Amino acid sequence: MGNVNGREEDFNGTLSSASSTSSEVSDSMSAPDGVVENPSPVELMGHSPPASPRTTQSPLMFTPQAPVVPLQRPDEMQVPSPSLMQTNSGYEDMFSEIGIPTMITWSYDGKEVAVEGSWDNWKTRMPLQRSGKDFTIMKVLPSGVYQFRFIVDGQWRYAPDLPWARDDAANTYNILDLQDSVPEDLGSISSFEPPKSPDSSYNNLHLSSEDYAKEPPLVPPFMQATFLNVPSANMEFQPLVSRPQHVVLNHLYMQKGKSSPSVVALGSTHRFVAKYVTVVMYKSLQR
Amino acid sequence: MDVDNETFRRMVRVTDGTLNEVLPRISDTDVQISRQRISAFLSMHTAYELLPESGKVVALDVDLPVKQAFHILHEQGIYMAPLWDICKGQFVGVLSALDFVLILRELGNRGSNLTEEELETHTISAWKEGKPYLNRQINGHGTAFSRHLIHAGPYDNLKDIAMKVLQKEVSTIPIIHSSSEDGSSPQLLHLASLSGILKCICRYFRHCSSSLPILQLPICAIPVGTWVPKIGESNRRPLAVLRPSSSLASALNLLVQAQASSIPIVDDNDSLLDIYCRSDIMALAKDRAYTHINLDEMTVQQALQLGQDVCSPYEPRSQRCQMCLRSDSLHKVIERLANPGVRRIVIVEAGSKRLEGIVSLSDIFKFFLS
Repeated sequence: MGNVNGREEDFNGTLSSASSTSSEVSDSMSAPDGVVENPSPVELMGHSPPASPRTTQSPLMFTPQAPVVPLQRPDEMQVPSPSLMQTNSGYEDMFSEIGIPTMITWSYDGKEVAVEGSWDNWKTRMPLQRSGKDFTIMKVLPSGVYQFRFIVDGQWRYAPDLPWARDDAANTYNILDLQDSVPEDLGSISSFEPPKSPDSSYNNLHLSSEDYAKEPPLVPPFMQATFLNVPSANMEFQPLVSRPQHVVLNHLYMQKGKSSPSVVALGSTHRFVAKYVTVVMYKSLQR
Repeated sequence: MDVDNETFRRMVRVTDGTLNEVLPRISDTDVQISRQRISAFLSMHTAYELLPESGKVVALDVDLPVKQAFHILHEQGIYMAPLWDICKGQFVGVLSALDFVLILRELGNRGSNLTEEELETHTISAWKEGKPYLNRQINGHGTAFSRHLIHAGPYDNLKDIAMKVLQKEVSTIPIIHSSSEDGSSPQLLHLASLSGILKCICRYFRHCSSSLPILQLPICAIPVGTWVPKIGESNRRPLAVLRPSSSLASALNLLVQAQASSIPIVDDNDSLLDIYCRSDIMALAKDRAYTHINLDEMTVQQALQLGQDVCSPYEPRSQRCQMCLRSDSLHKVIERLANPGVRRIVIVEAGSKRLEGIVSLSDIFKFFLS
């Protein structure tokens, strides 16, 4: 059963560009937690269906490198070793400094457009490139909320088509809320309708002994790709667990308790609006 | 940093002319403005934003034996879980590290022969029902044991959630969504804590810290946290501490009586060595250590060793005991507190690491939201 987990690590690894997983990872991963395994020993091919194109009105022009931390062996975990009087916590450095490319556009008239913002405390002014009628600039910033303003032909302006706010001194500025990941386009997922069953002859004859002699059909390999084996996110030391594949949603996984026969673990991943929640419930079988 | 003359003179008077430190005076308007802005921000954002894009939550059946629950939480590396009652079809409560602290204390009182038996068959629901009796023993006045789960919905705003956490004196609130009117078929979404809310605040104000003027002040100038009382300040509540040789029983007693979530461990010079948290109780599940230890004989140092041996990459040693200086700014302190897993910052003196105070998440929020 162990190699089932190993394959799963591969799957998670392929979602990110960098992956240094090895099959040894499975040993250290499966031991500590109440693992929910799929009982059928299916070999995962190790490749995933292509991620759906992000056809959203996102500010990103191209899919950025999704910063997924590859699952590593415990002793390889590169936590920067801090001195006791460290000035910044290593954890914060690891994740929040990953730059996310974003495009800022000014689509109103002007001859010379520049932008300045709170990302460097309003110190520098960067000119925008003209492309047709629009002026654009690409910035790479860590995830966060920033305020910025345009300087159009020497005057401070804000773009009314972008989120904006006004401060106490009646200065208006634009707001950029840069998320870690592109949120799902709800329209494309909530309107999903499963295709109808193909026309064919369906009957309900009882299974014969011939049928029982055959091997049961294999579980589709993508069912392996659940987050149930990932240690719980309560401590959230792996906050960048990537989005689950839609195929694993709304399926119930079950594992009989390893330590005791009277406990069973049930797991399932659901979508809530644009976020995904995996719930693992430990149930008592005693009555 | 500008020091107005009045403050300067005041300091000089108090310290007999020798100026050890100049505390920038915290102006009331600054505090007002900052509080207003934080309050406005929290009212505009909902619990939905606390949810990670892909999160995982563990829940337990309320009929599970407590011992199983202990092991499950230890295996999963978490220290609290909501409880699901199948008959009612509802989440009815939460099992947390405090429950285990109380259970172990109870068993310690009655003698270890009963340990295995008790935990084998004692279910979580039986434990919860017996709890009000214990509560009365602890509080003195019988605070009514709330049989209702303290929870919130995904569209409740962050301010309400933070207030709930502070008022009900819990550390985590499950976020539950029920699609139907009568609350049936609830869907567990997330376990919200002040840490997540502080992270939202930090993220929003990180790059416009001028809108929160109090962020630049040093932590010692702000009335938050519990501080070691200086000589002459006799009316302050003393800060509970432990020595490495203190027994585990005394540590658990302190945790319960002081109603604290952690106690610092200091040596004879009052230098900070480590910290014992309520959640460290979960380490006792390793190799079923709780069945064969004597709470009075085991020292806190040994108890922490147990936790360290568990190779846990998910809680690096450094995260356990976050420290800072009294001169560090409030901004720095809250950035540290916003890290998941960090619930308090210990304030120490530079160099000697002498314990000066503790600032926890709830201290900060009480200051922000009062």
